[in-house]
Formats: sequence, C-alpha cells, structure tokens
Amino acid sequence: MSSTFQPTNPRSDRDIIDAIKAGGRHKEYAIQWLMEEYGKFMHKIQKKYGLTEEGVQDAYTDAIIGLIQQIEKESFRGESKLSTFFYRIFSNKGVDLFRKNSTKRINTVVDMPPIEDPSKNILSLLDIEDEIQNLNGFLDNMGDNCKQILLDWGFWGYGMAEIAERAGLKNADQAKRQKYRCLQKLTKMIAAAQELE
Amino acid sequence: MSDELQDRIEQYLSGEMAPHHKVEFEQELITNKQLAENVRLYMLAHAEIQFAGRELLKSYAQKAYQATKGQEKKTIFLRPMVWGSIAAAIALLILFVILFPQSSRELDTDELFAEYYVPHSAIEARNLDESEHVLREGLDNYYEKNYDKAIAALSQAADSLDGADLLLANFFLGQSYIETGKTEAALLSFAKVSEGSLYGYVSRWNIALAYVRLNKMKEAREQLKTIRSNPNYQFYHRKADELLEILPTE
Repeated sequence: MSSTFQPTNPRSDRDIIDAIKAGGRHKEYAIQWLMEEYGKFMHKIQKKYGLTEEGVQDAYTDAIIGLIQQIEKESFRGESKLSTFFYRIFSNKGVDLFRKNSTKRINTVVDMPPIEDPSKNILSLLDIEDEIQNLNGFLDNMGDNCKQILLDWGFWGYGMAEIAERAGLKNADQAKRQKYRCLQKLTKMIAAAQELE
Repeated sequence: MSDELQDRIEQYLSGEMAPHHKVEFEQELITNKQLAENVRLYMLAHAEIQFAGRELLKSYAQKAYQATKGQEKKTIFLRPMVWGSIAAAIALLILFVILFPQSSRELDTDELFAEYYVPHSAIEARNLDESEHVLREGLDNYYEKNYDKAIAALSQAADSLDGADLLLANFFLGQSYIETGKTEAALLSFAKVSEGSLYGYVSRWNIALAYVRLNKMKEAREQLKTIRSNPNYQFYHRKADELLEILPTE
C-alpha cells in the first residue's frame, strides 16, 4: 500500500491497538495509517446510504474517533477483526446520517474531557453541554505553534519531551510552560467570546 | 488561570487527584464561583482541542476518500476456461517455489526497499516562521514532489540552520535523495539526523532500508539489529524481524 501519511506500516490489529494506547507519535501514525487503510469503506457506505461526499467523510471521521475511544476504553476485545469492528461503527454512523439527512444537520463528535464517574454530578452543575455543541474552532486563531502544542498534548497524547522536539523548544519544561500559556490564551479567548454573547 | 490551578483541574478531571484532595476540590468547586468558572473554561478549552483534532482527521478523511476513489472491489465472473488457466498458473508457481527456494533466488533489493520504505510527509512546514523561508521552500517542494528543487533548498537550509530546523532539513533532504534514486547521498543526510529524536528513529529505519537498496546486506543487518535491540524503535521491531529473516547473512 502506498502511503502519504506515516512512516510505518503496522502489520496486525495488535500493532494498531498497542500504538493507539501508547499515545503520541505511535497513536498519530497508527490513526493516519488506519484512515488511509479503511478509506475504501467510504465509497461502499456512501453508495449504500446515498450519502454526499462531505457527509460520508464526516461519518468516517466520527467512526474513526469512535474506534479510538473504544480501543482506549478497552471496549474492543479482539473478538472480531479490527476492520470488521470498525465497519460496524462506520455503518451505524452512516445509518444515523441517512436518518438525519431530512434535517440536513450533521452532529460532530466532540467529547467531554475524561471525567471520572463520581465527579459527574458536581460537573453537571457547570452546565456546559449546550456550549460544547457550539464550538468555535478557536485553535485556528491561535497561531500554528499553540495549535500544534495543544493538539499534540490534548488530542494525540504526546509527552512533553516529544512536544518540545516537535515544536523546536529546548526541553520538556519549556514545552510545559508553553502549553500553560497556550491553554491560558485559549481559555481567555473562550471567556471573551462568551462575554460578547 | 495559574499554572498550578491548571494542573489541579487537569488532575481532577482525569481522575488522577488523590481522594482527600478530590473531596476538598469538590467542596471548593461548589463554594468558589471563580474556581467553578475556571473548570468550566478548562473543559470548554479541552472540547475546542478535540474539535480541532476532529477537523484534522476530517482532512485525512478527505485525502483518503480521493486516494481510494475507483478502488471499490468489482465482482468479475470468469469463465471456466479462465479459471483453468489461473489454476495452472498457481500450480506452476508452487512448482517454481519448491524447485527454487528463496535462498537460491536473486533478491530484488529495489522491490524489497519499495515494500518497506514509507516516506514521511512534510506536514511540519506549516509550523515554520517566515524567517525559515528556505526550509519552508524545501519542504513545500518536497510536498509538491519537486525533488530536485527540494534538494537545492534543503541543502541550503542545512548549511545555515541549527537545532530542530537542521534536523528537519537533513531528514527531508534524505527523503528527497531517496526519491531521486541518490541512495548514497540519502544515507549521509539521514546519518546527520540526531539519534533519540522522532526523525532520528525514522532515519535509522530509512538508513537500514537504504543499505538494502544498495545491496549492502551486512550494513543493513547491523542497522536492523540495532533497531531490534532498542525499545524506542518498538514500532519497527516486527518489520525489522521480517527483514532480518529475508536478508542473506553473507
């Protein structure tokens, strides 16, 4: 298989699962590989449910995120092939989209931060569910450096030493300080936008 | 929001906070409006990061969609005569494998290289400042597959830059040389990428493959054994094992 994304070609489901659980570069490469490898399913699901190109790409993205979550939560126990398991998730997303097509609305998958169950009651007091449905894409307005650092840390799960290397910073401490600053900048942007509303 | 507070919120939300601190934190969360607001903003910031991550994955989905267009499996009904020919071809192939085992056949090093070499895409170009325009030019040309132009710009960048930028320049210079068939030059560039860095890991793997392409099996095996013995190269272990199995020892 030719690839444009990653420097490696995992050979088994176990490789993929281990890489996603490991986080950081292993996770990033594995997901890029998965997205390319399972890409052919998009045309099948698109045809099956009569989806638009944009729609099937959305469903595919959400299915990949769903797969990552299942692997990280250890809900995938290897009873079937990973590709079969993924196809099931993707097919369900396709059906959901097919049903929602009458309203032409696509819900994106954005998860709440990982929250332990006992905390949920307290956190529900903060009432952020509605706000999470209306995200602004603030990271795109933060500059490439902050965006990369926050994505590396919060999305891919890179360690601080690797983040330092990727961002051209001296060491892990500097990366951590930069992450604090970027996160602070982001929370200020969110707060400022809410004041305007 | 202070750094210390960010750490506390992060620990609390990830469930890593010690139980007694957690009780105190939750008590404070109910009584301290400012803390509650900070936690709320932190959670929204996290959601924004996930949103941006999803957008990134969506861009991969778009590329994958285009790349796999027209690759859907088509069912082809073959006539019995065709099936007979296929069966005969398979039988001949099996006979060939039995009569001429792997060790006695010529190893196609180019084919082996192509099977295992996967270029790393130049996505990092977006992080560069304008001051690093030569490096950006090199990476952009690499991305556009203008490898000769990429080599010219990246060589210039490698002469004038240091630190992470130098590492990037040498890494993509190595990959550009690979693409233009200048494998010896690629080896030299990859060797300049420092060990222990992300690109260092990929470079070591590429060096091993470059030796394979050059039919220098002793050197290739040495590199693969180094990869195999180092836990940092975990992601390459399986493939290193496969190659060590295939490559001749002499």
